[in-house]
Amino acid sequence: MKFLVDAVLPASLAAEAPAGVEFVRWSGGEDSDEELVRAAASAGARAVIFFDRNSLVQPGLVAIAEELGVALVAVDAPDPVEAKERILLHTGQLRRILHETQFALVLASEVRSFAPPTGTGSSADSTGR
Amino acid sequence: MATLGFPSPGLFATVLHALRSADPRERTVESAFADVIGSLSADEAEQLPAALGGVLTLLRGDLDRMRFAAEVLVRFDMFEAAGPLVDLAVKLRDRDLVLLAASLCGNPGVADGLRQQLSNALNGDRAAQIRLYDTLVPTSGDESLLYEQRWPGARPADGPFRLAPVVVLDADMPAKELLSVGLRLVEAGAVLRQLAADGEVPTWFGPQTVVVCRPQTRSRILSKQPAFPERQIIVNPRLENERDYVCLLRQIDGVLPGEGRLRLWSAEPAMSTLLWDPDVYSLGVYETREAAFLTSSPTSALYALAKRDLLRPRHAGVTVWAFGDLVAARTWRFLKSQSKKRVSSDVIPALARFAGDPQAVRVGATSDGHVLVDRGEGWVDVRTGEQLLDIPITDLDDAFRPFSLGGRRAPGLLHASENTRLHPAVLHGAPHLKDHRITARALATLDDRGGDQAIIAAYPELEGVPITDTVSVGHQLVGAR
Repeated sequence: MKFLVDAVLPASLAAEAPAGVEFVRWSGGEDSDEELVRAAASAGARAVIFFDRNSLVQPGLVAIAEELGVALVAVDAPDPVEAKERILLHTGQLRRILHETQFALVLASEVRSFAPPTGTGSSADSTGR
Repeated sequence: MATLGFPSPGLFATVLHALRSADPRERTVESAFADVIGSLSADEAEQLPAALGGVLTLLRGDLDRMRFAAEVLVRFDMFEAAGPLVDLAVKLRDRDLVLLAASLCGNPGVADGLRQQLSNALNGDRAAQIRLYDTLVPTSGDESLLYEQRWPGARPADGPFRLAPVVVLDADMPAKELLSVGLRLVEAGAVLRQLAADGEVPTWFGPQTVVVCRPQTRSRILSKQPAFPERQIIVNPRLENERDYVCLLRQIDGVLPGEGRLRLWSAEPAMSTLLWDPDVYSLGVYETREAAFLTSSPTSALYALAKRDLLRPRHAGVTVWAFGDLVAARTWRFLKSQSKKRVSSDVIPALARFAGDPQAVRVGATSDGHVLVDRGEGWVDVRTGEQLLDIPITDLDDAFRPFSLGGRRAPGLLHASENTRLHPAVLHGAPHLKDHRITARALATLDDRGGDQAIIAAYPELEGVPITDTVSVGHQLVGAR
């Protein structure tokens, strides 16, 4: 499974990918979030991994991702190195959950599906936060 | 830029390298020129015409490349370098070079003696003579077309030929700005002319001409051509960033009459990220403390504005604010910092709910709550569509600069520091390192983890890249949490 990984996540993530998984780190410039999602679709990636859950709340991004069939993943972590560790720790669970959902949140101890924001701007992860 | 100081060896080397590297069969003049001006200092920009003229002789063994270099001079109307081009054209008797030299010598900034030297070598070549002299009367359809191309002031408003718009740049503009504007105009399909600081005002000014100049030059033009439409004279445009250049192109295109238009699609990728575009202005996701930092507001003040329904944040697990909310709150704070009088809070919902405007060159606000857009023809109230005159209007770009109010300092919104950028479409609007999708906050957390080593370990591509100021912004953001 191929993932496009935002540049804010460490470069070493690509080299440490487990078998069956490919992490391609964004190497473009300061392109827009939408362009990242479109690039993922062009590259045949299953998902884009962003750092910080607020990335999934960017207006319009969810619609574009749904239209292109690209999943959106965000990592909740205090810093990019910790974010990388969490991705690597939960890669298997992430792959499985992306068979069922288009939006996922990687936390310290697990991966959860993430409900995209409604028109009123409310959103919650699967714990209802 | 009408000085001809002597270029440094380094500049000669840069120009020669760019021209030698460019394959005239595969590169456009614009792209070769972009390579040359990309890294010039202000002094080097001043001396670029001299450097280009100087390397012409070195290209004698490669006529194609010499013609290519000469075309660069002509496309950007670098009349200051006419001397070397005329010398080579006359010595080599190459017709392409002669025609290019004639085009360049048509600029009245060229000395009469040089023009005469070329004229003596033309042997009755009508195409060259038409380029050189606006007094020559065309005697055929082809000559008329060439004449109107070369002397736009002679074009009738509804003539049969659809010709490229002509933009005249004041040669006294700062050289680097002049080159940057010129490049974008050529890329957008305009024909470029430079108006020398002294000397006559030539037969360029016609219905399809726009001028970008200083106030003194505007006065000079209008005294010689009183009928020239003032709306087609743009005085002292601001050119601080890419967006300003795009706005200028749009402004020029907006005042071009008739069918002649710039190819703005060539700048569309940049234009689509203009902040006032409806698809952009509504973006951005900021948690409250980050919003407070970027607007210089206490968090309590933001919540109070939401409680009064002046701002309408979203709720995505936590309260989040959009870019438009930041602009609204920040502008209100800025207006308060500039005036001792009361500033109406009406400006807050007016800006927060502004739907964006794809034609806006500038957006402004008044202290009594009007939001206005300038689409290239003056300020217009977005709600009523009326033009407003004689009312103090704050350009929102001013509110984006750093300011202080009540002991709080607002950083630059779009440029929090030299290497920090913010754009609502990038990283959900988080302040980030320019040219990279790496947030200031991420840099700060890595700095806390292990200093520069930890940052470079995570981002090897940042080796040698200035990041200290962005790290500092990140620490301020983390501290604001």
